[in-house]
Amino acid sequence: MAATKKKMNTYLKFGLKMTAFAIGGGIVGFCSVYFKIGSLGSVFKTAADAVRAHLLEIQAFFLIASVLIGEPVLYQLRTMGRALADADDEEGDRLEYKMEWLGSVGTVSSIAGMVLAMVFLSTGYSMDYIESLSASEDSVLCLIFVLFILDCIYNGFWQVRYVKTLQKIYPRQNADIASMKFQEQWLENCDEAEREMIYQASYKSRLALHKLVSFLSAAAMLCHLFWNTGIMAVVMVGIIWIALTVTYCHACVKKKGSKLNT
Amino acid sequence: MPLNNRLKEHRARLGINQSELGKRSGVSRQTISLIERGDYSPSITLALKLAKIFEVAVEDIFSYEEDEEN
Repeated sequence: MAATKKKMNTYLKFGLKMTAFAIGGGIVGFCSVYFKIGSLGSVFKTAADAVRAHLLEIQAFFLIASVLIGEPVLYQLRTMGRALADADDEEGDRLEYKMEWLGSVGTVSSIAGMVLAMVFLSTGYSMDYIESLSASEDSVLCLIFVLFILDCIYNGFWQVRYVKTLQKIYPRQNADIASMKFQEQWLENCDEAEREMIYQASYKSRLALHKLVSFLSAAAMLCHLFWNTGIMAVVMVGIIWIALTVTYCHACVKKKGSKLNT
Repeated sequence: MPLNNRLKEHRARLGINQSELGKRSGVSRQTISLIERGDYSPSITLALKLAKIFEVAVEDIFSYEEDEEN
C-alpha cells in the first residue's frame, strides 16, 4: 500500500513538473507575441553585420589571446613540473592542484578560443556574402581566413605540447597523441584513483550536456518560430541529443557483459 | 565511507615518501596522498599490495568504522 502511494506521488510530482514546464512555455510564448519579440530579428542582423565588419580585428584578437594565454600556461607547467620532482609530500599536493587548475585554464581557453573564432567567422562564411565583395574586400577576407587557420594550427599544436609537457612530468603517461586511440591509451595508463576522477568528471559532463542539449533544442525551435532561423539548428541539436543517449545506453549495455576493473 | 587508515604511520616506519610508495605500489604520488587524507578508498588489490609492501595485514593499515545509523 505504502509502495503504491509512493508510486502515485512520483507520477503526481512528474505530472506537476510537466504542467509547470507547459505553463512556463505558455507564458514565454504569450510574452514573445505581446512584446513583439519577432522584431528583434533585425537587431540580431545588425549585430551580425557589425561583427562581419570587424572580423579581421576579431580573428587577430583570438590568435593573440591564444598565444598570450597558452605560452605562460605551458611555461608555468614546465616550471612546476621541475619543482614537483624535488617537492615534499605537502608541496607536491599544492603543486599538483595548481598544475591541474592551470591545465584546465589552458585547455578551456584553447578550445573556447577556437570555437568562438569559428562562430564569429561564420558571420562571413557565406557564398552570398563572399560573392558580394569587391576585389579589395576579398583580400581582407582571405587574410581573415589565414588568421583563423593560424589560430586553429596554434591551438591544435598547443594541445599536443600540453600533452607532451604532462608526459615529461609523468613519464608513465606514454599515450601516443597522434593515435586515434589516444584517449583510450591515456585512460589505460592512469591508476585507479585517476580513473575514478575521470569517470566522475565524465558523468558530471554527461549530465550537464543532457540539460544543455534539452535547453538548446527548445531555444533552437523558438528561434526558428520567431526569427525563421531554419531547421538546421534544431536538426543538429537533435542529432547530438540522440547520439548522447544512444552512446551512453550502448556503453552501459556493453559494460554489463564485460569485466569492469580487472 | 568511514574507512580509516594508518598509511602515513607505516610509510614513516619504512622511511619512504609518497612518491616512493607510489612507485612501489604502481600508483601515482597523488593517489597515495588521496588515500592518506581519507579522500579515496583504494581497491582491494591496491590495499593488499600496500599491506605486502609494509609486511603487515590489511587490517593493520585500514579499518572500517560502522556508521551509527547502521
